[in-house]
Formats: sequence, C-alpha cells, structure tokens
Amino acid sequence: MADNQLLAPLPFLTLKTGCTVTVEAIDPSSGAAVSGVVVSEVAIYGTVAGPGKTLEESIDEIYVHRQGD
Amino acid sequence: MALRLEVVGPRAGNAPLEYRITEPGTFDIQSIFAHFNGAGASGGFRPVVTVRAQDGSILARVFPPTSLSTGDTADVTYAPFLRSEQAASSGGGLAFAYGTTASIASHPGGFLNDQNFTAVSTNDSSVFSYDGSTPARLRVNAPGLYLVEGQQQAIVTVAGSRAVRVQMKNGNDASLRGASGILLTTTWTAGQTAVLTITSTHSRVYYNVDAASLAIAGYCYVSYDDFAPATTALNPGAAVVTRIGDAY
Repeated sequence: MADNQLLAPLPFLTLKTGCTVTVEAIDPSSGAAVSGVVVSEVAIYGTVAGPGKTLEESIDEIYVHRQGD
Repeated sequence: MALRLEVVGPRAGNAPLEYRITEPGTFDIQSIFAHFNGAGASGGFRPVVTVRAQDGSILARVFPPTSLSTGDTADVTYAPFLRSEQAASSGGGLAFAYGTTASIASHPGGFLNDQNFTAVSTNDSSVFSYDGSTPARLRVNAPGLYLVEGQQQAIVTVAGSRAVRVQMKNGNDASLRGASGILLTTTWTAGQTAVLTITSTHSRVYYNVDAASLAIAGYCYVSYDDFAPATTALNPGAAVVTRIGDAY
C-alpha cells in the first residue's frame, strides 16, 4: 500500500453541453473499468463562457466546480 | 457575465464518477483534482480522467505515468503541462552492469569459445544478474533497449583470422537477438611469427530485448566469444551493458 501524490497532463478543450468529464479507474492493460475504487474530493476548476459572450469576455471569471457538495 | 456551470452527480462515490455539462455556452477545464482509494479495488488500476463528446466519443483520456495497486491511495491533479517526475532506478540513473574476463595464456583454437565473465557488478539487481554457470554470463532480466560496449586484447602468433565479440542471446542459445558485435578482427598471413597485439577502440552495439526474447528462458544474456586458431593469447577484457530505454 502506498499513498501517492501524482500529476497528469490535461489537454486544452472547449466543451459544450452534453460533453462529459468522468473520473475513472481503468485496467492498465485492457482499459476496462476496475471495480471497487472509491473517488472523493472531486473538484473541477474551469472557465465558463456564457451564451452571447465570447470566451475572452468571460475569461476573468473563473469558478470552482465541485460535484454534489 | 459568465454563467456558473450546474453541478451534476455526487462529489464522492465509487468510480466512475461522471460530470455532464448541462449549461449553455462553453466550458474550458483548467484543472481537476480527485482522491482515489484503492482499498477495495479488484485489481491494479490507472486513475484517469476521460473527456467525451456528446455522442460518447472519447476526446481525451489522461492519467499519470504511475499505475496503482490494490490498497493504494492517490491524490491526483490534472492540469495542462503537468507531468509526474519519473521514478529513478534503485541505483539512480540508468541501470547498467559490467563484466570482466580473465586472461587466457593459450587459446584452445576453433570457433566461438565462450569466455567466462569472472566478475560482474551492477547498480540494479532487478535488471541484471550473474549467471555463474560455465560459461559464466551476464543475465538481462528485463525488457528494454540495451547498449553493449566492450574491449578485448589478443596476442596472436599464427596465421589466420581472429575476432572477438560481445553478444546478446536468448536464454536457450537458439538465436542471436540482433547483430553480434564484432569488437576486433584481424588476419595474419602464413609465415608471420611476430606477436601482434590488437585492441578494440570504441565498439558499441544496440540490442532490443522484448517480451518474446525474455519468454524463451526468462532472460537474455551477454557473453564474450572469440574465434581464433590455437596459440592465441587473450588479455583481460571487459563489457559494459546499459539499459538506455524501453523495448520497441
């Protein structure tokens, strides 16, 4: 058993309604889901650009999005 | 003003946890954090974040280079340009080993006389080990791309061609993996009697050790061969093997 502090890259993607961001545990070889892994403290930090506004107009407002506090 | 994105789903629970974007407009992810607890995991796993389009197509799947085992926990931060520091080998830096051969006063003659490595040293015993059987060899126990270098000195007094080489083979001797490394070679003409000393300069050979190579006997090995007529003497030689990367 080990307690790890890990970093991973994240691509620049502009997502629209219907897109999903999923935190998963997968088998390193097959890519299949691994059961029994508990995930907590999930926090997504990003920028929202509302309809009628460009990303540049909204870039100064950044929110921390947490799932189901 | 910008709109706050609606939050969907629990913040904690069994993986996978999905967050679906429901807000009109666009959303640019800056970073994601999650704590993974593998105490109840059914097996080893990678802690990943998967981004999918509206039709379910995977746009990106990102994870740290380290896989986790059952029982492990991890705080994982996903952000642009991040990359975990690579784990160092047990000895620090690249794994390497070197072996030396003893001098031979009188060569028995013939082809492919395997010389014993009389001493072997390594900074990573998980990659290299010493096979003390006859001929004593340097075992390679892990896949990878290896650089093999060596030198040898021969003293010859009769006519004929001579060569000394360091080479890597499968564990059962059935086939040579990659080209053999001829370190030095020379040819004597009939009637020459003077002693000639020949020494290799800087010879190197790359070998790819893949899973198929290791599967034959569980290891590959590095050995020293020489083929020469009788009455050739060999001074002590040496070979250095370095694992320089992953197998291809």
